[in-house]
Amino acid sequence: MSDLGKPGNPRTEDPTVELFEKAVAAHSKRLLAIARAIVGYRALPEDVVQQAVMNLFQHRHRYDWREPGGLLKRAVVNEALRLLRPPKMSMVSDDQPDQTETPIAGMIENETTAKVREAIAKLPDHFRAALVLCEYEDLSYQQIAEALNATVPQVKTWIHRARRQLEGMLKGYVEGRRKN
Amino acid sequence: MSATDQDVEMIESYLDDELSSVQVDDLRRRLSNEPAMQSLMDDLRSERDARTSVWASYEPGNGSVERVLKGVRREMNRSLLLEKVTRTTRWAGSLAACVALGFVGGYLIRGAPAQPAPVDAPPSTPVATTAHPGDGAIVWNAGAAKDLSNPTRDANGYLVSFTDNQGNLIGSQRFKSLQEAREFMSDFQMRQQQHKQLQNSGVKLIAEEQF
Repeated sequence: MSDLGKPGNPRTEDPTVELFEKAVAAHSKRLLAIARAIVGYRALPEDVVQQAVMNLFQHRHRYDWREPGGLLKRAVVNEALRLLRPPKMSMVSDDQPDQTETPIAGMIENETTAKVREAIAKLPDHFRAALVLCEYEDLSYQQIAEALNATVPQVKTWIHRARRQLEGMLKGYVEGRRKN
Repeated sequence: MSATDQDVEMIESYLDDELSSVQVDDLRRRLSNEPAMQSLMDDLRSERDARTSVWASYEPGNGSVERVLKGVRREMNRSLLLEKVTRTTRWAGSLAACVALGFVGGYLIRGAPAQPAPVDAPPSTPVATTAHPGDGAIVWNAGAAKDLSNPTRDANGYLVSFTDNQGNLIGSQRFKSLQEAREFMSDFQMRQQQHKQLQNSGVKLIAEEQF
């Protein structure tokens, strides 16, 4: 495991550094999931998270690192959306090395999940980001609005339209499964 | 927007836990009274559950987390080193600027250093002398007389001679008594010292008093 946050870290002149390291270590798994959900295969979620986190590090003295969850999520979401802006990134890779690292992940990757994932990837970027923060991160509309620099009505519209588009994309598949 | 869309939004907001208590009560009443609403609720819940498994599939394994943490640590070290170098460079630059300002300021306030006094006196010119007993008139150029000889006695009194830097005799003075000769020599040496002091301060003396 990483030695981030371990005692004896030589970089103790600046107490913010230690707090920052602990925050990143504690939230990195969630942040990677958010990044993956938003960028799909158009960018590497590891690059997204690393870049977002380092952007915060450059200005670390501005923030309170005792409760950094919201700050880190906002940074990752913004970095993910920034990367997705034109010029469009080409497909990075269809390989998901981390998917085979957990037995549960392998089992979950069934046909329905694959179909739904495919449909989510087709959503407009902001729709997808809002939906991820709502259903995966369980954030309130107000928190999502702050993370995406939008208003609550805008967020409600994005989430509603994302769900309607997913319903439309999966309608044929769902009806087919019901008949079977 | 059709009623159905409004109902869908309301149910979705309910599932998102974004309804007020009044709205929740109203929805629950409708769900119990309207089977269509309950069916719609079931469909929306089912779609939500399908997405839940997708969100879970996005979660990374430990390897991915380790790679990110390693990369972040590497970048942090680089950033901290750069910050340290920048801080040191700024400090050294500020110090150098202060020292330079100090020198410039001191130079402007004090002005250019004074020219050092010449080490050797200019070559003497012969001076006319009088050697009449009791006659004390002497004229010499500033800095010309270098040395005095001890008074010498002859038939007419006591004689004091003047020589220049090169040891050339440039004048002499006769006195009736040894006392007068010695007083003169003492006086002369004092004047000589005063001349040197004036020379060192950059003042050039052309002629002394006549007596």
